[in-house]
Amino acid sequence: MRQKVILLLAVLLLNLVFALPALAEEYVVDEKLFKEIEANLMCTDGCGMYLKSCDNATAQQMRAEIRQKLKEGMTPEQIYGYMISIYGEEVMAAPPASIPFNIAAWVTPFLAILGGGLLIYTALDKWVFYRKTAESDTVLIDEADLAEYEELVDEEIKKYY
Amino acid sequence: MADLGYLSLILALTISIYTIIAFVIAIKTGNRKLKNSAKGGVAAICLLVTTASFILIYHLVASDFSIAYVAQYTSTDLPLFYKFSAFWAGNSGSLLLWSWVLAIYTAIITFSKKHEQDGKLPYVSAILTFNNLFFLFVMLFFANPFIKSVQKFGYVPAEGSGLNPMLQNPGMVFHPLTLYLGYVGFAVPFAFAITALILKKVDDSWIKVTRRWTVIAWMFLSLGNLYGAQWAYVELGWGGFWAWDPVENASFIPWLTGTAFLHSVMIQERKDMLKIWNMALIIVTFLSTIFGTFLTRSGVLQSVHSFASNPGLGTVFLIFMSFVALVSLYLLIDRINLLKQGNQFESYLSKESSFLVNNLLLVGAAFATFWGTIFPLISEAVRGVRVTVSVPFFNQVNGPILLAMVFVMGICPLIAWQRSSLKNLRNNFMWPLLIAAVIGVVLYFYLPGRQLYGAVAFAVCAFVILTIVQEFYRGTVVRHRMTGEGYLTALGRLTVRNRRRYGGYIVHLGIVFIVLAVIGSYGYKLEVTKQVKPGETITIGDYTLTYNGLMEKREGANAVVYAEMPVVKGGKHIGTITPEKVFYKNWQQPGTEVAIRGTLAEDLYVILATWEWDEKTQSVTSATFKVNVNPLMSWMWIGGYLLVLGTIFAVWPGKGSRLGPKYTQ
Repeated sequence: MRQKVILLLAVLLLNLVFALPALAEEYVVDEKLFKEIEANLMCTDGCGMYLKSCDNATAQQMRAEIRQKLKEGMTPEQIYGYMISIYGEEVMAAPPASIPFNIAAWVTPFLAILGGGLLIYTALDKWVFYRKTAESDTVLIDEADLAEYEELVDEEIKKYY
Repeated sequence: MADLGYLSLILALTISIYTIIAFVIAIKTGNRKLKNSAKGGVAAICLLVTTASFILIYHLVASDFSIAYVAQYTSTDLPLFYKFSAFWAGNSGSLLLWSWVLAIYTAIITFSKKHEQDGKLPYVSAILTFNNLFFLFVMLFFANPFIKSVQKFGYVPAEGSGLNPMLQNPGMVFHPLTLYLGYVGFAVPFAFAITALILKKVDDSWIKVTRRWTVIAWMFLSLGNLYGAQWAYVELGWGGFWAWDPVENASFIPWLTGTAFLHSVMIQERKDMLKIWNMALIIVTFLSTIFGTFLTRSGVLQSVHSFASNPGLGTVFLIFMSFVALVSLYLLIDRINLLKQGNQFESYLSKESSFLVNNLLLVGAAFATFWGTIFPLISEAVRGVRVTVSVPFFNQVNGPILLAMVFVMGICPLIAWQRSSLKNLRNNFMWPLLIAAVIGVVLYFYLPGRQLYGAVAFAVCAFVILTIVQEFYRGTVVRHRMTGEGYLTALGRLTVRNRRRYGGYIVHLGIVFIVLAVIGSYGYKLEVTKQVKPGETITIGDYTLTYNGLMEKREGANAVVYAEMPVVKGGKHIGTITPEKVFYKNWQQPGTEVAIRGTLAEDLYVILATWEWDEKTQSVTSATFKVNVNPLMSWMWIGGYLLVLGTIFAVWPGKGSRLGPKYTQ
């Protein structure tokens, strides 16, 4: 029995030894993740700068805070939520799409372009009057050739008339 | 002297009112004497605003701190160059610069022999003078550059506050100047467009007359934006060049709409179409130049570029913008029947239709930028919550739109006017598309991170470059075949005799180079922030930098803390890099002097961020550096110079610059 307990303890100890680097790693901040979070926030001291670009004392403090929260095991979403709870929605460098009204910010430009595209298509449909004969036998001259021909003809006309 | 400056501005304002009235009466009555008198008024305004400007410059150079503006933006130890540039460092000075440029432009137009006969001149001059009247009014009632220190501070300071150290950079000297030359330049085509609407002469003559003004204004606006980017890159010390700040956006919007205008007018010249669209575009472009000025001065949006906010000034700008918008809109709607299309498209697939797509994307990007800029205000009005719209939003929204625009830039010039065929498309695009696709695939696997977006973006740029090179090559071959000239002679004559066309290609090439730099520096940047002790190294990419401690020196009145860091690349010593922190006598915040070692491939960019001071040993124990490797950054500046070169080449007087799209019924 005693031997079994010693063996169990030895196995546990061994596991712990192998697990230690992994445990230690949990406390090392993932730099990529940190930079990703930093790139989505603003400095909050009124300088109007993007956190990633700002180097003032507030920005440094915010970075330390992000690192601390990452060490505590918070996910990026939790960190954003934490930041918003302290500094307000303005701390986010882009309007969070989780709030329905903010979706308008993201979608409107593309809807406008789509609308413009449809408008162009409709206009073209109205303006194109040769569409049925689009593949007619008219000879199409290449642009580069045409420019040169036009210029040479101009020169010839000047020379002889 | 300052009183004389102030008096000059009062006189300029009074004469502006007289000039506008005189032009209007001269137009109504046909009175030539009155018209000439009004023209004299334009000359007088130019002279008076020039006098006021020289007086302010004199006070700045002489460090006369009895003038509040001089005390606020200069100091006795400020180098002469920056004393001069302090002219536009503050709100009132920059307004005076705007007014000065506008007065000069108005005088050039008014006394140009070219515009003498067509009857448009009194209208154009009156509109431009009205524009200047607004700026003179703003200066005299809201931002007087000649206000005395006693009036403003209650005393005359013995020494000035000095110029913000961040503005003491050549980039910041030229950035506002070129930007204003661009902004004000767009007032000229706007005035001609409004005149065309008033006179109901809406053919393309106003476009032809103002083409050079428009192109040059566009060039200055491009340069202004580039100088701003360069300043941010070398002076602000954050490793980037464009932060999508509201004020940066405000200068990007007119650039986008101005670019759309430059392209869409070609369709009016060629097909007598898009008249309403072109009118709308130039009105929007002009209004957006005023919008930019409004943003920097009103304090309505938070920006790192803002002058001290003045809500009163903001209101005046808003009233002026609304007035101009309403009058322009009224004229546009009233003359809408005259502006109806005069011609039709012959095919869905033509240069004309590709220009429509180009316009859609440019205006779409302008709208997205405007929308993002004002969204915080909309959110506050609707939800009562102010949000921030910054880099991540603009990169994600504008990135794909602008990339699509670059792709269209490769397609537009190669599609035939009127009607293109599948054969034409195959001939023009097959090889560039194939080669670009191969380049994209190779780069996807070769470059770090296997970024699909980056590889596609590089492939698009390669496609545009290849189509441009192909155009030069084919044009040269055709000319060689037809004339028997040697290839080099043929290339030279081809480009010189079609300057408008080939100048445009050079500009496109410049834009692609700028885009390459943007993709490289955004997508493939390497960044390391490290705290090091003397003897320790920082490794980034192929570079290894050794920190040997901090040193101190004096530069004039300033104390400079710096590190000399030997740089090794691939095992070979390539030089020493010296990042600095400068402590100014007249400024609380120290300035960061970035150390850059640039090559065509990449910039090694080093910032001395901070250091740790040990009280016991009274020495620096360690220092923190931010080190970036920014790929392809040099191409941004090369592209900028190419853009300027191409523009000048395209508008240089002579036969070749006139060759443009021909009008066909």
